[in-house]
Amino acid sequence: MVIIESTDEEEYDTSLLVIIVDTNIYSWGNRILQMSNKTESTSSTKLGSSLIGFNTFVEHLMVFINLHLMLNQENQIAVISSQIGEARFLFPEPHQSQSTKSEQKSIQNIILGKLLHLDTTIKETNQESTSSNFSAALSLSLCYINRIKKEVPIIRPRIFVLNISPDASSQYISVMNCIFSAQKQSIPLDTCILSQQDSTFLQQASHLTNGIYLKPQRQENLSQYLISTFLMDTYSRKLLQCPTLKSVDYRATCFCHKRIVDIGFVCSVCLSIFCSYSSSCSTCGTKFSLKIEIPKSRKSLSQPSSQEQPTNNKDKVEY
Amino acid sequence: MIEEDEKGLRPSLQEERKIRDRRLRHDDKRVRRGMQRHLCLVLDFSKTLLLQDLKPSRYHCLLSTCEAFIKEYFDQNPISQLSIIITKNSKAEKISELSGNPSRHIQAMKDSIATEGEPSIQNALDVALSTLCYVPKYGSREVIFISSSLTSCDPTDIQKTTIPQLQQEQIRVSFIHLAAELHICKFIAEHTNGSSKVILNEEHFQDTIMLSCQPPPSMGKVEASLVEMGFPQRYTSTIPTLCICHEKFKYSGYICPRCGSKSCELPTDCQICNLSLVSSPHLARSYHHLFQIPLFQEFNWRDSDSIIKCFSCLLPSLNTSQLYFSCPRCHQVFCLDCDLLIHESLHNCPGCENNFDQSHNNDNDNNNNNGNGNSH
Repeated sequence: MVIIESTDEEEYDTSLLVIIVDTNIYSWGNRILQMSNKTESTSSTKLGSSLIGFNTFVEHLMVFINLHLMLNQENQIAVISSQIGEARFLFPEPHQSQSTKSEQKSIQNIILGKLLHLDTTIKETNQESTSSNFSAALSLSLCYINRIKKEVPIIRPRIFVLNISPDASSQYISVMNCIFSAQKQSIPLDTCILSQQDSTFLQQASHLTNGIYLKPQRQENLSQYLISTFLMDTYSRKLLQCPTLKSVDYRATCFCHKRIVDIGFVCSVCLSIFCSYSSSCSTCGTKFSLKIEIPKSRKSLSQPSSQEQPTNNKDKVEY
Repeated sequence: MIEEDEKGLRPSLQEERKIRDRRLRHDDKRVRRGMQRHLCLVLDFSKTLLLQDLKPSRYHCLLSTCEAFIKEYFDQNPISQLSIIITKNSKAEKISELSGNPSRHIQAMKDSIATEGEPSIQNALDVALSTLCYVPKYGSREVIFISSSLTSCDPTDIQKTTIPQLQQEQIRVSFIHLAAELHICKFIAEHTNGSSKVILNEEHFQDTIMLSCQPPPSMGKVEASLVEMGFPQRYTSTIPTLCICHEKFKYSGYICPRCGSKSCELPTDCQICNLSLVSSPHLARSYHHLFQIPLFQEFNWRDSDSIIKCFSCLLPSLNTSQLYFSCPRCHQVFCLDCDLLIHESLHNCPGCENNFDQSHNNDNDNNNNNGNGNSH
């Protein structure tokens, strides 16, 4: 039984690729600013990292999508945009009844048409937060993969995230829920970062799900990066050398001062993280027993600075 | 076009409803739960395990179900620990120490193949006691005893010695019987706040044991404390260095922030300085027990004129024999498969994530506040 399965794996190399495109209008707008600043300063070419605008990005993406569909006749694709406050399907279209296998040209047209439409809709909404709704996009893609897996059980799903916005810390828990769900179903989550900062979320995501994390240095050659790194299916990845991360940051931020901590104190009831010892938890209000005074004294000896700020915990949430 | 049985119900749907009810039967009450669990899984490896009333045999059924349980347990409770104890030949033996590595437990369970003799409830519980009594007080202590035989071979009176000790150490003992219930087991379960259940068939066995994946509400007055934990970073170096857990040369590993030794996997306790090492994703993973998403209500497809479509997977309702559910918070409609996925694995409602409910949603606000602190 096992042997048959393994040969099956080699034979059926159809894959479902769910692409999450970050279409945050603020990030792409900033990009235009950065690019114009770059061209003003003469030494732009020497910096090495060249940036691309949204139009060029979409061109590269379309090349990649077409290549993926041409690689195998039965390959499937879904494109989800994560924009400010919302995530939605670009392809397949939510309002069409059961889309039949359409030709590649029309897929391209659908996506481009949707992207054109998106830009106008964002301008109308006036929301305070400017972060993309990445967690919703991930949730949608996992549900969609679940459905396609039911319909075509041999398909190999993977998620590919093209990100430009910074991480939104308010989404941390929901993103982690998605990542663990993907890890459980062994869906790799690949990441291509188009901004200049690394994304801690996506580093952790790619590492936990055995995906690839890449931050291209020369973005004008984006399709080259996409083809050589993200096009191959999960089976051929075992045979190839994929880019690895040098270090993954798994440190946490304390709830009280929002500092990044190496060693923290965790409330055993609600799992809140604190940077210094206190007698009660500010999140759930639990009073702690005084038995573990020993680690406190050790901590305060080594880091006297942590006691400087008085804990102003009284205005925190209780539940 | 609608198929109905003689009672006017649609039979196919009724079956699906039942499946859903069974799978999503967790309590969503907000109670204090022991988030850091220490569990001893006691397996009865007596000769009764060779009986074939469960197919293909009790033994195979037990192995496959326990394997699934261990994986699910660590998926749902990433910072918890587990140890496996087997009892046979009137003796009890610990085959894997308390640790957080699922593959090690599963391997140990598969390696211990011989089933022989009679089980000993008392010896098994004594071994569990000696394992769990060193566990810190803030963690919850549990024993799940999967018993297959109807007898026990104990050295002394279990009521006089073992049960008071279990009560004193606040260990919760739950039984799952593959055969029939025993009086003594029920007695122990009642006196330690546990439960005693008898399975009907293989499927019910799986369902019963999977219910234990959700952390139980903590018993009585639990000592809460601040636990010192380390959040190591993962480094990959060009030169392999020794890891502390396998004593082998490895290229990548997690560096303990206190003593700088290298461990291969998280969560674990640093073997040099005894600091418990976790990663922030593991902590975040445990939050879903605290902030659960509400159960969805069944959506009557007659209420809408147009074709309804699952919000998250775009599955349209072409044939009528499909169940659809709507989230009470964001009022989006989901198909049965997505509903199960959302509640069993994802723990996120895609509709609520999409901010369709910003005005009237206190739970999510609370959730977000916690998330703020955990941004790295």
